[in-house]
Amino acid sequence: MKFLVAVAWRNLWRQSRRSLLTASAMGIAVAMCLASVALVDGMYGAFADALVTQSLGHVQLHNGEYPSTKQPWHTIDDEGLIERIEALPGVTGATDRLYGQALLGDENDSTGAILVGITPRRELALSPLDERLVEGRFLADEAAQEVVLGKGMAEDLELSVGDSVVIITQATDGSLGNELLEIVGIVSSGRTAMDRGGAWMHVEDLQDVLALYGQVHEILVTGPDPDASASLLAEVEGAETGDLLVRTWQEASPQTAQMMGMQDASMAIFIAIIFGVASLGVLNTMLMAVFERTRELGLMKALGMTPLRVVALVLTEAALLGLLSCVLGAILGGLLDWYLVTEGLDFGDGLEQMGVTFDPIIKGEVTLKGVVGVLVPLFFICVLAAVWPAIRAARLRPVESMRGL
Amino acid sequence: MMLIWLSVASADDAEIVRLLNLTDDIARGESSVATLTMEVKTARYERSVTMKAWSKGTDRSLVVIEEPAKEKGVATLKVGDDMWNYLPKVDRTMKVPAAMMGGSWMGSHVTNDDLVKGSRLSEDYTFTLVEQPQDGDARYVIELVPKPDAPVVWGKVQVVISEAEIPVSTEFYDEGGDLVRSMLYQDVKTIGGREMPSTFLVVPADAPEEYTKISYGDIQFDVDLPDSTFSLQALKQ
Repeated sequence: MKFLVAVAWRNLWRQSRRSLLTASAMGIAVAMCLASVALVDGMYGAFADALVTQSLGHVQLHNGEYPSTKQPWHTIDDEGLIERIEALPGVTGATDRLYGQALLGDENDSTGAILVGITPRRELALSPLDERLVEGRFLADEAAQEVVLGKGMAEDLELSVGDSVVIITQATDGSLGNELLEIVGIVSSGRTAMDRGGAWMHVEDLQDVLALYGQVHEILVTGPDPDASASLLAEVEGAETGDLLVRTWQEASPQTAQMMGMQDASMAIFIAIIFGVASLGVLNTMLMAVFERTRELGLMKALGMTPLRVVALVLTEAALLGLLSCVLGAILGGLLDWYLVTEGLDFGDGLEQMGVTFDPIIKGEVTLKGVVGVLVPLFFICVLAAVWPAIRAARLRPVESMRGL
Repeated sequence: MMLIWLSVASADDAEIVRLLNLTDDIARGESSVATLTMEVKTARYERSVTMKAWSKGTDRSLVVIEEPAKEKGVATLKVGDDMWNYLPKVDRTMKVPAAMMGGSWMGSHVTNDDLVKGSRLSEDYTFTLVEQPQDGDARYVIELVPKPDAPVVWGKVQVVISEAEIPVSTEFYDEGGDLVRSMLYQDVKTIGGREMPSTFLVVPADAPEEYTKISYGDIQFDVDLPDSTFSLQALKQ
């Protein structure tokens, strides 16, 4: 074996320029794949974070009627439920939200607003709105008749931090729910609808306005991994959820799940194309190597080398070539990854998915899975591409090959 | 257009207009001051609101809630097509934007639009008298179809008036011809010197268990009210 590797290694360097060229070409392919995987993983991470964790949670709880009716009185009685969920070992965060629609403004200038009642510390753990503030601060932990407005709405109504604003809505008991709120912050959340017409307030303040004391519309639960929502669901259902509707984010928003799935599929296709091209390079190199050494291989066989040893020799050469490509690719890819992770890639404006505008600079994310997922298949493709040349070499008839050429 | 239409209107038409005006003018005078109770029953809540209302002509009115205590002082001012709500809890007045005019007023089955509408049925609709008392049923039934550009949401309206010329009901249909809601005029009695229905019952067709019932406790007509009664300043008091 050691002998085989030594011979294969020397053979590789007999045509050092060709071997290096092939290894470089494949190294570049590896580097491109590594960089693309890092970028797509980064993008996927950003999407998963914004579209799944922050908007949908990993598991959602609703009143069974609410998702279809959206009627404000189809609520969850929050009594102790969220505390029970938070105490579960597999839960990293949970937030309770109450939604409402109201007229928001002052005497003459008002507009329809989407009100989101939240428990600030819980909500911030899930979606860091406080990092998206363009002015002011986020809501205080205790209900204090404060509101944080979406940037677009604040601009439309010419409101700024420190101003007071009235909300008025039809409460669920038929009365005219209203409240005077102080604007403490203005946020650019990246969510188109919320920036244009959203307002965040303390859940208790909104419960008062809507006459929905102690009620919320949804509870979003997150675990460490959005893809592991099914096991989280099983765990949450153990927390005495009663007749509430408990769903994974994939069940709650199939179109988001589909979109996230497409990312994986398109990446797989991209990698397959690059690897396909790379494998043709290996095939070509190894065929050339076998052809030009017909005489030599014939001699070796005449001297008693078995066909199996010939196959092993050619495959070892290909494997060494693959290894070399991987090393070159890893070095070059590592440099690209380093740039992507530290600097990121600027996508300019308009990086929007499903109503969410993303930070235009997407930073790469290097995972062990991503790196191994590129290097290992490439190595095996190198070896696989050499199978045919190896078999050709093994079938050579010693006499003919030594006489010919 | 209007002129041509008027010129061909027959004496019968004038008679129908007079009957329609009876419906428009229930509880309406040159001016009025009234106390009324509104009972609302929906699938989710029942509530009773007592209020005082002032009106002048067709385009000015002010309603102030007296009970329940939680909503005491909440007031609605209407001047022309505009409407404001005064909210004592926050001491602010909010104009009701056009987009919300179709919304429920104080949780009832009456919309903001219903309150603001000052125009007469005979102005917005073309009408046909489909039944007269001599037909045996002892009532007038008038069918109204909106004029092409009338600012109304209904596809058809049917007004029923008793032989004694007291309004009985008004039914509102959508453009597909389905009944949307009925308004029934009940408890005819003499209040404020007039014989008139003292209770208005609004029943939505899609939820017949629900209703809004407005009952007049007391009403005085042709009271001298200054225009300033219907101002934003007055709204706050």
